[in-house]
Formats: sequence, C-alpha cells, structure tokens
Amino acid sequence: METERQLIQSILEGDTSAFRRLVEAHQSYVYSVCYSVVKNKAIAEEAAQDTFIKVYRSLKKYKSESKLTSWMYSIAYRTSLDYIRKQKKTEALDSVDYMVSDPSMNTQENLEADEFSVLVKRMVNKLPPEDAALIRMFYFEDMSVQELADIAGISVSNVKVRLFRIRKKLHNFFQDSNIVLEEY
Amino acid sequence: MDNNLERIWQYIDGEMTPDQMRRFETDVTLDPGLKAMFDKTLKIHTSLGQMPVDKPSPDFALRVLQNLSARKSFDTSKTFKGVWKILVLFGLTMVVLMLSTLTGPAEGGPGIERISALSGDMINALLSVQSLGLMTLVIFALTGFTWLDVFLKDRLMQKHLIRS
Repeated sequence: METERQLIQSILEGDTSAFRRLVEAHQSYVYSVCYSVVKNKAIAEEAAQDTFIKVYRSLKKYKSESKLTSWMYSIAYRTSLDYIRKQKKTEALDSVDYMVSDPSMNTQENLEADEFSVLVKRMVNKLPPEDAALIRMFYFEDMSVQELADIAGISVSNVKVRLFRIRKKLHNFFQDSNIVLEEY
Repeated sequence: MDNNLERIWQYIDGEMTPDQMRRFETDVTLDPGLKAMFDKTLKIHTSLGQMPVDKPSPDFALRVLQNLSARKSFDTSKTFKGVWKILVLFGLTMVVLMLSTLTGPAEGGPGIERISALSGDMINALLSVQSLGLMTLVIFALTGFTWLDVFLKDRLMQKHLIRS
C-alpha cells in the first residue's frame, strides 16, 4: 500500500495521477472545512479547489513534522477566511437563538439518531465561521487541541476556551428548544 | 451550571486526573440533575462525532486537475514573464528616482557625473538621518509594487482561465 510519503514523492516528481489520488482521498474533509467557514456550496468548492492548488504548489515546503491532513486543513481554513474577507458575505450568527427560530427545525419531534446528527450539523453550520470550522475539525479524526491551535494560529488555551463556548451554545440550544433527547 | 458543564466536558475529553474522575463519577450517581446534564452532553458529543462529512460535486477532483493544468500553462506563458520584466524595470526606476530626489541635486551637474555622484550620495543617505524616511519610502514602493504584481497576476489569471 502506498504511504503518505510515497504519494508526496510521486506528486513532487510530477505524477498527476498521484495528485488526483491525494485530492480524492481528502476532498470531503477539505471541502467540509471550507463549507463550515464560507457556508455556501459554490464558494466552498472554489475555496477547496484553491486549497488543493496551493497544496500542490507548496508541497515542496511541506515538512513532515506536522500531519499532512493538519497542514492541508490549515491551508483550507486560511483560504476560506480569505474568501469571506474578500466577498464580505459573512452571515455568521453569534447567537444560537436564531437556531431556535429556524422553521426547518422540528423541535418537538422525536428525531431518529441520524436525523439528530444532521440537526447538530445544521446548528454547527450556523455558528460563526471560525467556530464552525474549529468544532468540525476537532471531531475530524480526533484532532488534538494542539493541532487545532496550529491550524487556527491561536494558543492551546484559546482553543480550549472557544471549544467550551461553542459546546455550551449547542447545549443551551437543546436546553432552550425542548428537543426530546431521550429517544436517541 | 457552567462549572458542572465544564467538568462534564473535561471528563468527556479525558482531561481529568484519576482522582477528579472518581469524584465526578460519584457526583453523577448522587446528583440526578448532574446525571441528566451529563447524558445530554454525551449525546451532543456523540452526535458531533457522527456529523456527516460534506461532499463536493462528483467531478471535483477532475476540475482541480483542469484548474491546475490551466494555471500551469499560465505560469509559463511568455506574456506574464514579459509583464514581470516591465514591472521590475518600472519599480527600479521609481526607487532610483526617489533616491535622487531625497539626496538633492548632485554636485557636478547633469549626465554621467550626476549618476556617479548619486551612488555616493546613496551611501551617505543610508547612513544619514534621512535614512529612516528613505527606507520607509522604499518599503512603500516595494509594497505597492508587490500589490501591483498580485493585482495584475489575478487579472491576467482570470482572463487566462476564461479563455482556457
């Protein structure tokens, strides 16, 4: 089986199919990071494409001290933030109160477990860009707080504080909206 | 409530010492309110871990490769290299003009003598009080030049991608 190092070496030698394999292996996660920041499918695709092009171009500079995925997510995260800065389309919401008023959320129904995950995901996507990306990445492949700090360019304690605030918001949302959790 | 919630997340994230864990587990069994909060938090945690991953369009990888190939051909295009050369020359001319303005009229009048005197003046200027202002101007010129480079590259790239 091809290792990560072999894959990188092949790409550096100009093997386009190796790069395609890299894109196919990581596209969903990279796209998810972009989507949680920009909150728009078309822009997220554009940002994810840009991310992979940046990855290709700076692969020579990549040092295996950090995980390849963390390195790619940090590029995706920064690229997406650049997109929202450029387009000024940030419609991020700082309050979960908005989530409660979302008519698409059927708060009184006993949802199936899968539906509950979808609901949580929808709520996460309504968080401010940086917070949404942070919580999504934290739950990708059990990413460590240190890795998150490196990606977001903030301190470990800052990451911990932010994670707590985000999870508290989610907790409060369930508390306030009377979603029936017992069935899950 | 915050304190309890903080403890719950610490427990879930495995950030407690064995002693703290034992104490927390005892508290959960004794306090029904804390138990309910813990159950709810655990469900949120599990759901966050099970969140479906977003998927890009099916031809995403293909489009990345096409985009890359278009950009590669653009990078090697002579047009852009030509533009670069013109910009470098323009930038250098601007810097020399600024230096000559700052150092004042050179002794020896116009022509070759002025240019040779200028290089001596440049060294003097770097060592003088004016150097700070001079450096600031050079930095501004370089920043402007970099911005112009990025701007032109973006514009040309867009045209190139549309054409390709």
